[in-house]
Amino acid sequence: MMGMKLPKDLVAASAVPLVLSLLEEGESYGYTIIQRVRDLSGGEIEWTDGMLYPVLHRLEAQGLVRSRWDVSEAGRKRKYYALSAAGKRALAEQKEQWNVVHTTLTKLWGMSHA
Amino acid sequence: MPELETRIREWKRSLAIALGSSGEILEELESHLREEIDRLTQAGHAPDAALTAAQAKLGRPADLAAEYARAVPPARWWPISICRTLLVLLFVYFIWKFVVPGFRPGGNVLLVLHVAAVVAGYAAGFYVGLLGICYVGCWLIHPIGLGQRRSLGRTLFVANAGAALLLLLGMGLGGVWAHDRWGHAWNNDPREIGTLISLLWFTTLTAMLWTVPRKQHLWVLLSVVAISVSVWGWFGPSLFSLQLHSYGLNTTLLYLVVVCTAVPLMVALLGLLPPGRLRRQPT
Repeated sequence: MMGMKLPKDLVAASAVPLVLSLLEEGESYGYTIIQRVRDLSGGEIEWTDGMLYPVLHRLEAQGLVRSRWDVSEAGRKRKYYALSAAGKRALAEQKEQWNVVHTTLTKLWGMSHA
Repeated sequence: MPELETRIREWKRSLAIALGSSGEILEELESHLREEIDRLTQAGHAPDAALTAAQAKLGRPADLAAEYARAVPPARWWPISICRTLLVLLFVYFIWKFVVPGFRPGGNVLLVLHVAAVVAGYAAGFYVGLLGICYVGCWLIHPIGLGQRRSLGRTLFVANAGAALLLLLGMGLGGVWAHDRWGHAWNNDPREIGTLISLLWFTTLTAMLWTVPRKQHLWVLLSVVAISVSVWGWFGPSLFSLQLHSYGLNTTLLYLVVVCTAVPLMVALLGLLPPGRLRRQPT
C-alpha cells in the first residue's frame, strides 16, 4: 500500500463522509481538516487544498454544517465549521452506506472483519 | 515582507476575478494560504518559495472557481427579474402598437412577423447588455456571489442564444418577404449587414458561454458591448443608409447611437478594474 494514490473519483466520493466524520469529533477549520485527513490516511488521501473549501461551502448551503468566524491566537481570522443536527443525521446515513460497501467488499474478498 | 504582501494581493485579485467574489470565500482561502506559508517558513523555506508552494497546493484560481461552481447552486439575482420584466413590458407595448395593426386586413403578415422577430432579437440583446451593466456596477462595489453568478451565466446563455435565434428568424422572414416582393432575398443593405453582425456577435457569445464558462467575467463584459453592437445594427444604418432601411434619421437618433455606443464601452472598461474598487476600504 505504500505510495498508493487513490483515484480522483474515490477521493471525491469519500470527501463528504470524511469531512462530516472529522467534524463529529468537534469544531474545526479547513487547514486542520486537510492536515487531519492527510495524517489519518498516512498521506494516501491527498486532497488538493482548494478542493475542501467548495465541499464545506456546499455542506453549509445544505445545512449539514454551520460556520462562524473567529480569530486565532496568532491574530488570524479563521472560519470554523461544526456539524449541525441535519449533518449528524446525514453522517449516520453515510456510515450505513459505506458500511454496506465495506461489508460487501470484505465478503467478496474473503477477508474477515477486524 | 512588502513583496510577499504584494504577491498575496495579486493572487487574491486573480482569485476574485475567477470567483467573482470578494467576500468570505476569499478571506477563507487567504487565511489558508497564510497558514501554509507560516508552516513552510517555519520549516525553513524562504517566504517567496513558501508562497509559491502554498499557491500551488491550493490550486489555480480557474480550477478553484470550477470546483466552487460545481458546489454552489444557482441563487436569485434581482436585476435578472427586473430587467426581464422591463423589457417584456416594452416588447408587449411594441407588439400592441406596431405589430397587431399589421394583422388587420391589408397588412402584410410576413413583414410584420419579420419586424417583430428582429425587434425581439434586439430586445434580448439589450437585456444581455443591461444585465452586464448591473454586473459591472456590483463588481465595482461588492461583486455578486457564486450562486448569483451561476444564475447570471445561465440567463446570459439563454438570452444570447435567444437573441441570435430571433435575429436569424427575423432575417429569414425578411428574406422571404424581400424575395416575394423583389425577387432577391438579400440586398446588402447596411441594416441587413448590421443585423448579420449582431447575429454573429450573439452567436459567438453563446458559444463562448457554453464552451469556456470559467471566463464568465470576460463574456459578461462583452455582453455589455452587445448594447453598442445592437444599437449600431439597428439604428446605426439610418445614419448613412440611402437604401431600404434609411428611415428615421434625426438628431435624437444620432445622440442615441452615440450615447449607447460610448456608455457600454466605458462600462465594459470599468469592468477591467479590480473588484470592489469603488467600495470604501476599511483602514
